[in-house]
Amino acid sequence: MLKVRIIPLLLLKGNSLVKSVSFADHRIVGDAMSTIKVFSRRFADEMIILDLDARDKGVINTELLKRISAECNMPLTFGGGIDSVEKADQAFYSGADKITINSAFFKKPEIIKKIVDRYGSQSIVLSLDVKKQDNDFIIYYNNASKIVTDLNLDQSIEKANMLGIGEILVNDINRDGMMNGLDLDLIETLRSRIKLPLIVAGGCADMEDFNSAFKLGVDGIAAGSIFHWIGESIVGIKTYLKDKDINVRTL
Amino acid sequence: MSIKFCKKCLFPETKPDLYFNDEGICDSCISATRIHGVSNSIDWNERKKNFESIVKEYRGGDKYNCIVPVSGGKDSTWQVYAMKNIYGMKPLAVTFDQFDQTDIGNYNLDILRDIGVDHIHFTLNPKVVKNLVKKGFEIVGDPYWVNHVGMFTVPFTFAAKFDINLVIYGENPQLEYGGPEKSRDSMIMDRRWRQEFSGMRGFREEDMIDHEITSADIDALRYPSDKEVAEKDIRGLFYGHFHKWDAMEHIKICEDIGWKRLAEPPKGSWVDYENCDMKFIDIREHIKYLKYGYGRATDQLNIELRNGRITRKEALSIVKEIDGEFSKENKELFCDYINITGTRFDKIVDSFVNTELFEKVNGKWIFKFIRS
Amino acid sequence: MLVGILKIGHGNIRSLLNTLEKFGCDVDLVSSKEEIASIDKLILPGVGSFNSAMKELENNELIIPIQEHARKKDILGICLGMQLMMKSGTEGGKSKGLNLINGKVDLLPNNLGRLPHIGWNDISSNDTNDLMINVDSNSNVYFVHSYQCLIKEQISMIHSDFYNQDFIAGFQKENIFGTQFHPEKSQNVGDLIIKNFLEHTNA
Repeated sequence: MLKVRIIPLLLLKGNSLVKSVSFADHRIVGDAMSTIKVFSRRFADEMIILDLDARDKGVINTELLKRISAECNMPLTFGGGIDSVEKADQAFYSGADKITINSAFFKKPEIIKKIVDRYGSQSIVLSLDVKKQDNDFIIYYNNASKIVTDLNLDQSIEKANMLGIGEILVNDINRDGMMNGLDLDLIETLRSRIKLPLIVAGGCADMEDFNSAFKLGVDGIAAGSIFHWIGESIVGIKTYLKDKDINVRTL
Repeated sequence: MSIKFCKKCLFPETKPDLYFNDEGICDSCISATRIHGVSNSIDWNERKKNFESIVKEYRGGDKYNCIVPVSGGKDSTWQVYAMKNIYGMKPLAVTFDQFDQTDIGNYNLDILRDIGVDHIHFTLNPKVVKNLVKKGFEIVGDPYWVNHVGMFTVPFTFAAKFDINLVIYGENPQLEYGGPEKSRDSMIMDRRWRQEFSGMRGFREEDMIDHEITSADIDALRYPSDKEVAEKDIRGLFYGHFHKWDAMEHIKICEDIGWKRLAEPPKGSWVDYENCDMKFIDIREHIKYLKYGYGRATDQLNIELRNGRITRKEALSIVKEIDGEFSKENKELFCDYINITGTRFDKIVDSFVNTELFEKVNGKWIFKFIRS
Repeated sequence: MLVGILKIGHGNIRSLLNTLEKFGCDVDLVSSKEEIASIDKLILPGVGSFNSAMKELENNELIIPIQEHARKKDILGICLGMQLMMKSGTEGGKSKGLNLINGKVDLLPNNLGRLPHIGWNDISSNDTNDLMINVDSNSNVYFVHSYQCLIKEQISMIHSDFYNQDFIAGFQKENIFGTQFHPEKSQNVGDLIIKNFLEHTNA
């Protein structure tokens, strides 16, 4: 049986690990390599790395990515302003197993098609930053600074299907970095509307959050804060989930 | 690309948890102005009264009423002195044994005991320690990882076992060295603080469990449960939150009772009265230097600077010369201790280098920018 | 022992290189008849689509050298690499494969569950399979694919399930091996499987 996935989500700036709250206020909390080494010892299922400098300055630090992929012993998803086939090439060549795209989906969808043809559907993750509003969602891009005006959620999903994207990662902007709990209503709605493999991120606070979200049928949960601070260990979370009959990979 | 340095001190923007204000001054300097009453002053009288009101609840009687974690360094020696002789408490001194304790360090622990206190010197299984030192070095670039955990755990374990309510630490590092705003005024040292700031670097004791280290091996490093801490009403406090921290004053008092400094500063350091109990401090600081662009000399000269004992210009020229240096002899001894080759040592150190800040020239890592 | 990784498509072979280096192998990237002839074991990695991969092999005249190699020497196909070993495939249009195994490639049943099939899933084998030596039953390995191999031959299979429907996760036909999952991304279990491949002898 396919297992659910627990995925540490790491933000990098330069060679440093940073933490954000509500997508703002980036704080350097450590160095990238220590963090990668630490998480590679834990029992996570995948790792997502977002390179903020690559996103803001348009240049991927391939040297660092190569070092990271050498130490990272699990499937690695890389994101950071990928908006061209060349950048995708760089990411994969440097060791990424999947890439995640955000702004390019809205601004340069033709590039997505090219990347899918070259690398296959399963190698691309669409990252959507959303805020819940009434019964629908506002979708943001460009580091959650701009609002997508021409596509709503359903249209975005349809577009993703058409382009052949393999997976969707949804970030709840409101809950990012706060460890206040996942928004289960939001997750339930997303699950009912997205037919592709779905990873959710934003606000995970405790083991019960993981349980509730997996019970709603998400395929993966990405989290940052909870693994760094007082939060639970991945092994601890998985033991808890196994007891709750969630299909999770354990030792 | 360029690197910003604090306009007042020598910290680079690449230091974790450091914040610059609009004038380009770091929060560590801002805190210093608060500490010294220059602006937005801290009311030290008020805070001292606060401390007295906390400890007087526990004062008196035959039993220990506070634990003071000690290493033999000047600060913890001062702490013990203060709690016993100034606050009239009955402290239990607790040491988590350093794997690389120096002769001076041992000597100074004797001096500490001579203040007239009971002392527990806890040594974790040396085989386990060696393994954890190696792992700390390889995984997070810090051979002292096990010390951080031990220092911030074992005193609380003993507090729980002996029913002691107070554990008194020294300075609040976020106040003195920079940190997130909310943490600078924290007086509490608890599990969350330990996880976030004690130098564990996101690495938990249970992460160490593998085919070489068992769950039982690291049990002594497990922090008491939230339930136990609450039931026993155990509180960790920073003495430095309640009293203006004056290292020079502390040294004077310590030396008066026989405490000794090092014969000379460790490589990469500026002063001879810090880290007296840590033989391999230069190795750790060398890695920190390569990660973040600053080492021990910067930390220490910044303090001299903020206390008006040296100019920024003078400090800058010293830092350029010695920051990040380490001794070849120590490298050999350290490699011997954890049983790795010099080549492997180099490979591990290289894996932590921030290549945005450093480049390798003739086999040596050189800082790419002009320090200003 | 010299291990050759076929240079094909644009996939990430870094993880594979890292793992092989961990085992102290000499590794070469091969993309010509001569290079293929010089190696002891060949690995077909796999990212991309069946059709475009086969076109590339054809254009570079690599089909026969690979088939030659597979007659006597060990060969391992990973993910798309395993699919290419079949007789034919449908991804990107119907096309011929390397025909090392009598089977075809088709989409996993998308009426049963979400595609692509991404994540860790457990594998087991009832037959003796040299890749599975010392591998615990129901160990988890990492999958990321939408297509599956439908094999007609009676050979040793490794199984997994896609939403309770059995599918072929790997096989062995003497010296020809395939894994639909990525052993180079599957941590300890994956390392062991690669080790088994490296240690396999044709004696």
